[in-house]
Amino acid sequence: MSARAGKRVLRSMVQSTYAPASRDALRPTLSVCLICGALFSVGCGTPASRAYAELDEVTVRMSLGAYILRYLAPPWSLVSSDDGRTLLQIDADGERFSPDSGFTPKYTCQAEVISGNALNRATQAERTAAAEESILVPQRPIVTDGGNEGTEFLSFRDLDMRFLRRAYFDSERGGVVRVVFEAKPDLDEREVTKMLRALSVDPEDPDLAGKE
Amino acid sequence: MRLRTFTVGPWVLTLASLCPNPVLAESSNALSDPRTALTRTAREDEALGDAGQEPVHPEDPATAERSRSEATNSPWLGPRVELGYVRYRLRDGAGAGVVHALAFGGHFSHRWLRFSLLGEGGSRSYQLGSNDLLARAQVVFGIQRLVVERVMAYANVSWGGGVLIGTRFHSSVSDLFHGIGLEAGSEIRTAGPFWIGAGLGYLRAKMQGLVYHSAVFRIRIGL
Repeated sequence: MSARAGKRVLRSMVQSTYAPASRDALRPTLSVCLICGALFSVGCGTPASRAYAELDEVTVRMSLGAYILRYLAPPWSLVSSDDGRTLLQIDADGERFSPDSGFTPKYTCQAEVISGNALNRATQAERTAAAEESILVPQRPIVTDGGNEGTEFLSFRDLDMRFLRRAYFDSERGGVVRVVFEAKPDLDEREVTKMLRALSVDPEDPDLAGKE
Repeated sequence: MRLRTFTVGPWVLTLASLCPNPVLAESSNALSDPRTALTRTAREDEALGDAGQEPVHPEDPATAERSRSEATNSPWLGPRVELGYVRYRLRDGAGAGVVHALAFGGHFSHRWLRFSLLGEGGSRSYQLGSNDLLARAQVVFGIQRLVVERVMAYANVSWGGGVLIGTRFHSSVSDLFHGIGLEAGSEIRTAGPFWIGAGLGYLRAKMQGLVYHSAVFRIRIGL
């Protein structure tokens, strides 16, 4: 914008009456206002490129272990998070259109801290599940984005036609972080894998980190 | 804002062809009316004169050719309608990424100023599932300058909003977004009224509290 145009804009802002002198400055003033308005409307915010920026998270710290469970909301919604146990779910389509109709959720995800060892827990759970469920994928390793190694297996429950995916991660505090997905659709899919990999086991405590 | 007749000419002509036109109606009736036909013959006779010369037309072929040539060589006032392809990124950490869209719109020019309305429809890639659908509308203010005879350079600021519809975890989700953009490029007038153009820009969009930065690439054709 030239100096003359700038002066005209300023003059139009100062003049209270719609004088002919300010008539020429109306257009640039309006343009400037529109551009400022557009800039303001976009404003500041968290950069989308930041890791997990688009995900909500629940942080749980227990004596046996700690974790951060990250999820995309919507469609996920937090049902409860207490006593170290977090429950997320995605409502069935019928439930979304007719609330409180009692449809089984399309997906559920339950994370909790339990005692023991990840490998032993997974082996024990797989053995128990084999009695009532079809094991689709036996135990296999899984690594989170933060480098936490764990083990998981997938099964199908014939009784209610539900898929299950159970993952176990050792915590440095001596316990195990267990994450169990249950859903109508097949759970051996990339979205669920990505959600599991976004899990942080034993995340740094910001309060303790400051003190150390 | 007073628009030049050249710019709005096609629109006016289109409207005029749709509306009842008394002048055209009169001439149409005149052709079908034998009495008028007789009158016309009489007038033509008058024009021929006593010597039986040919009627004198107000515009001879040379003049018409010159005026047509002047109209063709008159300075280009800028594009009026466009169809194009635009590519940018609305990338997040959840697997969503590049947008490919078909753009369409109209431009209104006044000297070096340009105002445009653009629409867009396309898809955003999603690595973990099926792609998202995208629709966006934009209001564009810009400046333009005919740098050489057939090349128009432009720079503009745009503001717009849109909607993304996709599937996450087998559930349909939709998000509204809005943003501003800066773009610069040029358009080249090709044969007849057609032009082609390309532009590069920057887009800053906001969706669900997250800010997306992206380069924008656009190629366009139009009238």
